[in-house]
Amino acid sequence: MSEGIVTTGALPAYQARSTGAWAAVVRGLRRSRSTAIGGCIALAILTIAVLAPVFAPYDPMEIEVPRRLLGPSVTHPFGTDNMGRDILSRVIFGARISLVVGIFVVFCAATAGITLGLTAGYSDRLDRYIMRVMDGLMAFPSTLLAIALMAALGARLSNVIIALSIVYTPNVARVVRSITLVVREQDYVQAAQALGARDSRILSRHILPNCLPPVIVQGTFIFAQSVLAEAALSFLGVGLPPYIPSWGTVITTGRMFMQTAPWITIFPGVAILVTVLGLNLLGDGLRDLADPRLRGRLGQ
Amino acid sequence: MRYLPGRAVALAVVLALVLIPLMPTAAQQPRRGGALRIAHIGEPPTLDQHWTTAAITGHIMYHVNEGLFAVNRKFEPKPVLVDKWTLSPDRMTYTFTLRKGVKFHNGKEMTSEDVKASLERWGRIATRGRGLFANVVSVSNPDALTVVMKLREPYALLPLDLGWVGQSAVIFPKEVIDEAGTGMVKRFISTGPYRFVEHLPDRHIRLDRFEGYAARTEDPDGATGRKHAYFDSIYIIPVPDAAVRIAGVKRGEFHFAETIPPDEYDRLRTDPDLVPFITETASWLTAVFNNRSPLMGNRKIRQAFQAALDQEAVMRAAYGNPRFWRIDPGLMPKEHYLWTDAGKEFVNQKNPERARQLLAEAGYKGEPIRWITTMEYVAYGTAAQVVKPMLERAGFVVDLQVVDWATLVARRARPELWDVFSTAFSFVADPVLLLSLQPTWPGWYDNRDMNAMMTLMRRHSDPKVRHDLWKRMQKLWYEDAGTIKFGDYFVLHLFRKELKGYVNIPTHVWWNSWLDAR
Amino acid sequence: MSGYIVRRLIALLPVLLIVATVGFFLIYLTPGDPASVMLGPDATTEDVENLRHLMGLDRPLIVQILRWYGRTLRGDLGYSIFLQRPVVQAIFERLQPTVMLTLMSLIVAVLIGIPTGVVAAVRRNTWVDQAAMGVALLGVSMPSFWFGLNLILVFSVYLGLFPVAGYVPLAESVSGAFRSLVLPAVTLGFGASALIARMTRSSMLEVLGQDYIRTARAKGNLERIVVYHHALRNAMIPTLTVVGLAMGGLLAGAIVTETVFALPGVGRLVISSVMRRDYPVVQGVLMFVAGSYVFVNLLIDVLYVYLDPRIKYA
Repeated sequence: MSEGIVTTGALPAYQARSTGAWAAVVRGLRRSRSTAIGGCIALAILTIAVLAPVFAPYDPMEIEVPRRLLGPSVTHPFGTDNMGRDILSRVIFGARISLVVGIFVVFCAATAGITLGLTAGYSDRLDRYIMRVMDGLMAFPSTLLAIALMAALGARLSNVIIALSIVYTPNVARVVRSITLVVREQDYVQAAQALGARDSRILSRHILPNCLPPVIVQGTFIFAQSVLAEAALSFLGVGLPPYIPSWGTVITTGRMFMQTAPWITIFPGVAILVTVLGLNLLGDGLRDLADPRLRGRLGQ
Repeated sequence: MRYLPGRAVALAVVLALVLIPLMPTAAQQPRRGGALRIAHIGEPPTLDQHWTTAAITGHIMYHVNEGLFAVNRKFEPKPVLVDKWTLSPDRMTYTFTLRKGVKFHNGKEMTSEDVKASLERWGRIATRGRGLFANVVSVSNPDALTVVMKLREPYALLPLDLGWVGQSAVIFPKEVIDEAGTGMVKRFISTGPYRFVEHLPDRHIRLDRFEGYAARTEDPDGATGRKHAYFDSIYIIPVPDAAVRIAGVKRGEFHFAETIPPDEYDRLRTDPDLVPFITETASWLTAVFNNRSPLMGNRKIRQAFQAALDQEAVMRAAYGNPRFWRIDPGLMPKEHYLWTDAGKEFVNQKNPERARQLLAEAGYKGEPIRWITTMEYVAYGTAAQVVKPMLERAGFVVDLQVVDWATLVARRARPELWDVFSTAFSFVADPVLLLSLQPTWPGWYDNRDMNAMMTLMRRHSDPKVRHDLWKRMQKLWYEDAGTIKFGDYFVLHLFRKELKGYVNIPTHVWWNSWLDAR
Repeated sequence: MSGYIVRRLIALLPVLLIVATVGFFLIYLTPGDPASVMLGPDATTEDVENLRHLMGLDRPLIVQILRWYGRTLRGDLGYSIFLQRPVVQAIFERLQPTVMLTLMSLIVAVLIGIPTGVVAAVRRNTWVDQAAMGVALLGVSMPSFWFGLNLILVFSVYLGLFPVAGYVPLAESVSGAFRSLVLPAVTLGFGASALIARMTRSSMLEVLGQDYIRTARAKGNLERIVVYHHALRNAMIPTLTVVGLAMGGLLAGAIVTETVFALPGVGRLVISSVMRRDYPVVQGVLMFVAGSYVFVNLLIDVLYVYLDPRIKYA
């Protein structure tokens, strides 16, 4: 809810080998029920998003004014909005938009964050400059930065992705940098350096694998935050254009009809809630797995 | 079924119980005192009425400011600060005699100096004022209570211009105007029944009764006649969310909520504490064409746009309940003496085939129509979304750009950036005030025949002549598809039952209204 | 210690410079201008151009940015176009609702978050743990504006317990101020509580596994004393960081919450200023909020020293 993305700032330095972590993920998913629930929710939303045209009873953009503001019924299980668009179909296709926003934001923020974080952590020369800029960006409250970016860039799907990626990049960069700083002092990295391994090889073979698990955990939360942030930006009038069926735009359309047609806001709101909850559960589970100090206790 | 006598009596008793409280009683005496709390949709961009055309500024400041004239319920100009006035036989010189003993809120008496300074400032900065002053040779004040305006060409509508509500030619003290220089006034002082007390942005604007107000003696009529400040104070509170405005009025936190979604009407009507109020003046929802763009500058493409429309669907999607909108060809509203249905065959054609054919004749090759619209005014954005598939069915390619209002207004000023934009026109008292017919306004509709007829329209005052002329103008406007008028709409406001005496012509009139003891 | 604080303060300067530059360019890139907003919908292009010139908006970029740096260096955040007052004054006028909202939300968040986290940690991997963390997660998983609008509908409209919107300044009525902030604070605080609960739980878990806790238990201390005296105190340190971070989140969330509840705070100021392109205010608020965010985090770092004797700043 706090559209703050700070959730994932303080991750412990991570030192385990990656293969072990992946096995632990699979093991953990079997053991932790909430993680499994989170995983199932995420998988369900993914399925709905991918197969949206199969599930949706109507074209989500189809405007049919005579059937405006109909309550939930057999023909329109989630009702219709003020232009007669089917809410169920819009919510189903909304999963797609949320997925696209989430995946791209996570990808962009992770790519940029890893690149900057590795560079900063590995190069003493660039560290100071990169981290100053990251600190500068972090100093903006996330919503404020996203609003300003959206106002400057304009309401488009690609711009929402760009704006949110910029907002979340510093979080990733910080974590990656802190891990890099720890890992590069490890004996085996020092040894590799002494043996004359190239920096690129050390980064890709030794340091990057150590960074990935926490970044994946963080990515889950960033995904969840992007879903919320997209909705909040739409609500504030700087998000996606209203004809695009996203959960945020559907709620924003329905805001005028909160009392006469509550179904317009309720269903996409619940969709966001369930999705974000699922992602958070998954992220929590993954985090417990990724944290070696907690891993031992999972079996208790 | 037969009526039993007992049942009839019971029915009569019930009816009496129901009806008695509804009957107007002698107790409808205005009550002095209390504070009126109004939930408005947002913050005014400025409180300087000369500067802005924004309606919200007028809503508030029309209680503080007064002009030489104002309009009554029939939208006829009547004197306010003017006592008597004459027009020379050649219709080129107006002489206004001001009322004596009218005090500004700072205690100073109003004189012709103030009026001259105010009119000149309005003529310099107000959009409408500059239009009018292009035809003004001079404003002079031969004595303390006389102001003379000399015109270049005969113009019959000057009092209407000076008394119109939008960006009104209100009178400020000369020193306030001097102090403002080229900028905005720093103090809000005029002669109205309420005086400006404070503006705490995003919290409230407060107006208090002006005890030294010099009221006219005529009965109140629209914005003219006697004005009486019954409230000790008026608070205008910005509440951007409509649901919150409604809830606030229901709970008695506000007495009045400005602009409520029409779809709430049926629900609110059943609440005995509330009065859902539908404005009597129609505004129109429009899509303005950029006549300077290569696409929309092409008359056939404009006509194709016009032919493709199902205007009922647009209005219904935007405003819902049919009580709040109507499809009407008249560019002047039905209630106006100039109303005509000339050109009605072009309205609501629902004819994608014809549109397709017109596009083919125009040589349209699928260049995207850039339509800028906004969701800040939900109806604009809704209409655009509904129209988009209609156009696409006729073969148009539409690039709908949803931006915020500030971006829209900035972008529309640059003809290279857009083809169509969404807006609405509020009611105007005369065709000469219609923005969509003015070649200077974004859209730049510039038709030589139209301009020639407009000149005649300005000159003539005979209703018969003007009506014939107007019919031809409207007909031409439709043939030319200068701008799209989707339909008339009426705004819904909500207030509590204890607010009495409220009038909405020509704008919110909260003076002369009062709060009944609950 | 004081040397450390001074060094940290100096380190703030480049951050603020970056904030100022980013802020300036974001605004500069934003289409639309205050002149057209001010003149209203019916103004002609020519009128808008005249006013733009009067406002100095048609000056070259380099002139504008140099003027902006110059002013900012002198601590002058400029003059609001729409509010007709200095930006600093405009911000300070709106500070009370925002500070009150942030504090009350923080209290709500801590009141929900810490007990939830402690309970979850003590009864870890039981249904209590899962339920507690589930509730906390629920808070962070809801869109705040959606939650807020629903709260208004239920508690203000149907039950009539709280005002629907607006803010009563403390000077007018203390109880009124609190009443007007209850729903916004719950909206905002519930979300932030998840973060605090999660951090409390994990640091409690960590602390409870430490040797000295085992020692304390071995010495036969009551479990309650072990948990609340020994463990919680030490678990508070990471939690405090999160509280600091949560402050930033709360400030960000306040923008949305203030809009929903029509609170005349800094968040609302910045939204309406973005909408009407009141550039000096947007830039000023960016500087101000970023500055205070950085400052709060500095404060928290200093607080560490008092809570954890092991940390020393040379």
